Amino acid sequence: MKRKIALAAAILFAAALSLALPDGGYALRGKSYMQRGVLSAGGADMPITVYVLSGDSSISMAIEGEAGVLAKVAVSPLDGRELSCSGSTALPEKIVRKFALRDLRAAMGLGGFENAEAVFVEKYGGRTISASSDEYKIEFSEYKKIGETEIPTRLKISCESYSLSLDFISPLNAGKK
Amino acid sequence: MKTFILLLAAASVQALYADSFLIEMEKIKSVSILTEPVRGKCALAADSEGRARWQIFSPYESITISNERGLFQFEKNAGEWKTIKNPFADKIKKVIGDIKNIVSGKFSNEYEVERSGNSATLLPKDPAARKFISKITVKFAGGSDIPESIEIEEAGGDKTVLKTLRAQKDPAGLSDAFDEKNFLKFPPK
Repeated sequence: MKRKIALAAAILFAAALSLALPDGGYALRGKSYMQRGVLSAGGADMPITVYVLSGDSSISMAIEGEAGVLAKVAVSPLDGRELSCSGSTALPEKIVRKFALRDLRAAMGLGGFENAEAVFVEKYGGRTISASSDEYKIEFSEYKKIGETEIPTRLKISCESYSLSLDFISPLNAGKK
Repeated sequence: MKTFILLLAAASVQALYADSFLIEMEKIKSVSILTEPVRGKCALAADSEGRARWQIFSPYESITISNERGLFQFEKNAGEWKTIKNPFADKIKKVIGDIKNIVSGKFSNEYEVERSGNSATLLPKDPAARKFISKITVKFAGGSDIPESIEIEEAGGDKTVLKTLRAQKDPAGLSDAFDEKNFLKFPPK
């Protein structure tokens, strides 16, 4: 009984910590940064660079591959609502909307699991370690202090059609152009 | 495609800078969503046999080697070098064919080349290629056959500028640059 109470207290404490954090436990929210990694699909690998710029009214993301910039999307920082979405010859808009928008929302804790029956969120110390459904999993690891806060310097996404491993490269300047 | 273009740029350089070379460059990437460009360091090496090496040192690390055995790509991910199984290897090999042609004095007729003063502009003739790259501008310093900068404009409006920091003709140990089995043996200093 004591162990159950301790476990319940620990869960409540973790939940409280998470609620206390302005980013809801998703440490990349509100940050502007660059990531680099490898997208693996169908036995092929594609190195990609991801740029994320967070502002008061939008979170913008651009994905660059060997064919240049492949996709640009923007969502609302309040609810993850799509603000813009564009693809390229190499990556059609339909695919960008289906996958890139989902990944951005999941990374920011702003959705991405709309069709899932159940979503499991694993947290430690208030920080999200992973969020997953039957077909999709996003993992945040290697938390390190970058600037004022700790952020996950490694992000891994695995789903039915691809896997993506991204390393944090550097923060980006989110100031006005 | 960018790798193709860089290899083609290597070929363009090679045509004007006939022997083996190593060029260290600053890479400046401008993307419309960013408030300022992202800068990094890279190097381009090529030899008279048509082999080429494109290496990015920062802000991340990656190496592409094109030699007589094929195309090899390596990417540092999660702190370790990983071999990339590139689905576009055949297309890149075709560009290597272009490089060999250019090395032997034949410019690829797939690009329209416009020369003006100290610069040359390469325009893809193929509409499919134009969907990726709108133009490549190579600028030379006055009286030099070494490119001062190579500007690659993407069809979507974003661009990459490569500015030459240092160039070496026939650098020592260049053949190591194209050895995919020992791809870390050639760190240009």
